[in-house]
Amino acid sequence: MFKNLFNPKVKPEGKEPKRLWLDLGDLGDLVNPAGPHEQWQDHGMGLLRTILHQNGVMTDMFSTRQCTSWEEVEKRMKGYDMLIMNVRSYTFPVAYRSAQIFKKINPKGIVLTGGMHATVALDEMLAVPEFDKICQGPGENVIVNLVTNPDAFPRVILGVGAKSMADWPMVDRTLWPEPASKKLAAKFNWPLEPECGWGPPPVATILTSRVCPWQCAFCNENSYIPNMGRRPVDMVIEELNYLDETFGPIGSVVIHDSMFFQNPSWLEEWVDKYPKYANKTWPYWAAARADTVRQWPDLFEAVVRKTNWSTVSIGFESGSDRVLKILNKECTEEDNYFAIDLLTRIGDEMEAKGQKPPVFWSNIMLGIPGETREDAFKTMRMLKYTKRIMPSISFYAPYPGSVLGHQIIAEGKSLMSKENYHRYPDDEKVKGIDYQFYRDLLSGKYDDEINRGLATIRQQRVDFWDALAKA
Amino acid sequence: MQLSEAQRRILLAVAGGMRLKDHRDIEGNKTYALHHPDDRSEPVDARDVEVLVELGLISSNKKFPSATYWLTEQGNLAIRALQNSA
Repeated sequence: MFKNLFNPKVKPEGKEPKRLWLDLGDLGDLVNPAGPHEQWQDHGMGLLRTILHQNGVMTDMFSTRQCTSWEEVEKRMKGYDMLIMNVRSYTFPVAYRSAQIFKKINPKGIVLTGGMHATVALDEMLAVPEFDKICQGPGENVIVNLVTNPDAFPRVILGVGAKSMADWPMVDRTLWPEPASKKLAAKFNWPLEPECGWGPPPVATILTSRVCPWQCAFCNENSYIPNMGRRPVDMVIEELNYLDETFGPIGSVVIHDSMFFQNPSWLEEWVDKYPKYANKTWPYWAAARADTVRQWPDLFEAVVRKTNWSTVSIGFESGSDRVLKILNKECTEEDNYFAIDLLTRIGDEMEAKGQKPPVFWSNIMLGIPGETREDAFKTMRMLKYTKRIMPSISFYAPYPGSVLGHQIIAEGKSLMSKENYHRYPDDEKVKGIDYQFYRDLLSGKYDDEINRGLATIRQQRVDFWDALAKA
Repeated sequence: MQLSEAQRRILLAVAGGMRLKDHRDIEGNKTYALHHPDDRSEPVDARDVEVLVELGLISSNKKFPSATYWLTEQGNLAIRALQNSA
């Protein structure tokens, strides 16, 4: 379907240019990784290379993650006419270094870049003279023309996306980089992906929607990427079945959507069809928000129970209304506790029947400007209250591109700089925050204070649910 | 549970407010270090961190390229046992 949307320019006479797509990440991550998440594959690259190849525009590919030194990267780059990179903020330093090497050994070569960093931090991309073309925003409807005829475009290009994910082709996962050591290959399950602690391997990662429509002050994606139609349920199931039959058997699924639990009619169709038509109701990880869980509790319960939603990712962020307002999260303490209680009840009932209970995966932020000690205690209390949770706690980071990040930077309070924010090795990111307090908090020094309020919360929650049941 | 001296030291250091972090630099080197409040840091052996994670005594915030580790409930219990036996 997608093939016909493009009209690639007539290929230049003579030899086809040699094009290299460079997958970006830290050196060695596909040789001897230290953790599971740096082994994720890049769906943006997979989609765009699939589109290119379906249109007869071939690219070679290797990953910096497959190399253990920059000398190796240099060796593998030699002889190419074009370098294409999908740049994210955390891979910006790797992209920069790669472009410098590429230009050194292929001085007549051209470097095409795109990706989220081009979209949120254009000034940094513009400052790199080796980046010949910089594509902002989605690239699926411009990539073929850009790669076949780059001279027809200005240095900065506004990308064009599809109106709906139904227009996307199925990603050809064999275009993703392979693990580069025997040890890793043995457990990687390429072109499926390795276990990361959320469900059994092999893991199939997939997208059903793009962009979270909320406007949290610490995040930025909705400001830059336009919303688009969700991938139809039938196509999602068809792709999973294809992966299972071709590369499987699949063990579990990760739905990478920024926000899976939205659009009730899509979710109702998912509840109806996934258990019926998928080769197996594989357990999966997917994201929700506490307020949407509270808004559609019956639907949430149905999705958890009937579709094996085993790891429910919710960015609770904070257990304090004051801080949730600072973050413009548009969720309340009550929303958070409602979602926690509901999943706990579902989990208890499933456990009583001998089934594996679902768990929360939750992003939590501490050290937010304006947060008081009592706010932080409330957050830790919420974590302790939650029966089944895998927390991912980090200190607030004022990233450019987000509303709060812009404000902190403008006020001169950010301790991060463009030279280091992509791979900030320290915890202290904002001036004026008492980080020693937070370190003590995480090491358990305030546990007595946190525990003191817990019994009260537990009683309040029992009263709340009793009142709700009676109503 | 048999912990080495180095592993016990890491647990006690984290309980004392030091931060255990990993970090992969631009050259691809992966390092683990305990960070003091004044920002001094001292390297620790990756294998010791691995053992503590495998035993469920510490857990990371699963961030990359730089993750922070903290004590789990089980880790806190182990600390209490270590402190009581001291």
